[in-house]
Amino acid sequence: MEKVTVNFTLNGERQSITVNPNLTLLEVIRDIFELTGTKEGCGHGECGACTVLLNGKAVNSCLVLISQVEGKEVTTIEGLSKDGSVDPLQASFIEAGAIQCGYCTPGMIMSAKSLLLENSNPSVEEIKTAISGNLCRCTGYAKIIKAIQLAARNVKAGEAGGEV
Amino acid sequence: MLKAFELIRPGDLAEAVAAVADGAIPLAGGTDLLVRMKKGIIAPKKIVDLSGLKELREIKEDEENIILGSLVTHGDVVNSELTNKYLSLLVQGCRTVGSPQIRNTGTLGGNIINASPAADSVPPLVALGAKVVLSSVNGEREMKIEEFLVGPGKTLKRPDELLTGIVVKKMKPEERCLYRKLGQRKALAISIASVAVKFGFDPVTKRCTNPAIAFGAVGPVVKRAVELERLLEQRILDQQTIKEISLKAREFCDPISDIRASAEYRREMCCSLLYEALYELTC
Repeated sequence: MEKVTVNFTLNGERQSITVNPNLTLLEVIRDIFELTGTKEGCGHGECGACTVLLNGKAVNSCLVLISQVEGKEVTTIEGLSKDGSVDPLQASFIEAGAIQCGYCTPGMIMSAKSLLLENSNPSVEEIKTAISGNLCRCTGYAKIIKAIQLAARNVKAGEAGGEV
Repeated sequence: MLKAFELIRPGDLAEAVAAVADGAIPLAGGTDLLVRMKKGIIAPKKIVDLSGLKELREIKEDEENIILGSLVTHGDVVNSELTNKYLSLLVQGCRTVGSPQIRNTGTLGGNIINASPAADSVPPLVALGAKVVLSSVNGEREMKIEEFLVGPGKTLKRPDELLTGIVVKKMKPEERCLYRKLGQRKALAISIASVAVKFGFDPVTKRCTNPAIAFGAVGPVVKRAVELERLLEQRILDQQTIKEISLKAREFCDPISDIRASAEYRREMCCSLLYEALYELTC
């Protein structure tokens, strides 16, 4: 199998890899870059555990072939914390206790991140739609929705100069 | 891991079309192709990755039409100003596809080529009389989508052709439209039955003109329900008329029983979906 060279940005850093073309983005993230925050659940785009941002939009990394990320920006859960401090969404998930087993959490947070990048003041319905591609089998959805609302509020308060 | 294949990354459309002529399977969004490869349903020897072809991601307009590249995603359709202004019915359909992640990746072209009777972008496209643009090394041809889709998973695309665009007539301001889908839940649900409805409507006289109706997931292909359209043409759409006509929907669909629903249930749901759509659009 002839290898392909793919250039892309991963969590803000430019990368160039030469790999077999039959790898998915998820396999590259976990096995080559050893960023294991992104999880594999179903492997068929049904559960959202593998959600990452591609040019700021949520996608299932298990259904993206590595060549498809050429020239694009990939953000994983590891890319959210800046200068040693967690993203407001990560903070609000901790504060709201929006975690049970934790397996769906990175995917949930990435879907929520995609939403907040587009819409800083989402309604509950918009939050539900944004995480509709992410399954939590502990069914802790109520606290997840609360955590996303909290993050949106905290970001706004922070922008207004208040305490975050 | 996916089985080994040769990957072709075309520099332009001509190279892509040449690769298809040479037997390569086109990769658009990948949300269906990769699932089928993972399940072992198909094992392509050659794949041509179309994701670098920016021209296939464009949404353009001319005087009469909106022209969508085949790689336009469902999310692109939902967010585009042009589609929201002129193709509300298609926007509504695309909004119900899969999940946000699938909508951000899956493409209109892929949805059409898969030719699933339950594809959510297809009933709106059929009701809108959309045409598909097929490109090969020998040139281009256009075909009405309703003629292009011939059975579950079957289209009239020749092996050497690539679906490159979709041409849809702009809706008129006086036209009303609705896409309504019945699935097991609101996200990641394959349609049990769906309906796309569009017609001209005078809110004062309540008269219906030029109706177009297409049901999804209730027959081998998505087709216009011409008999129902005939019943609606020039009618005053009061509640009684809506009810009478909706009840006739069961006679004009040809559903199967499968794991999602029985044929009898689907037939009933066609009536309900049409009733709900007509009610919402006129009352």
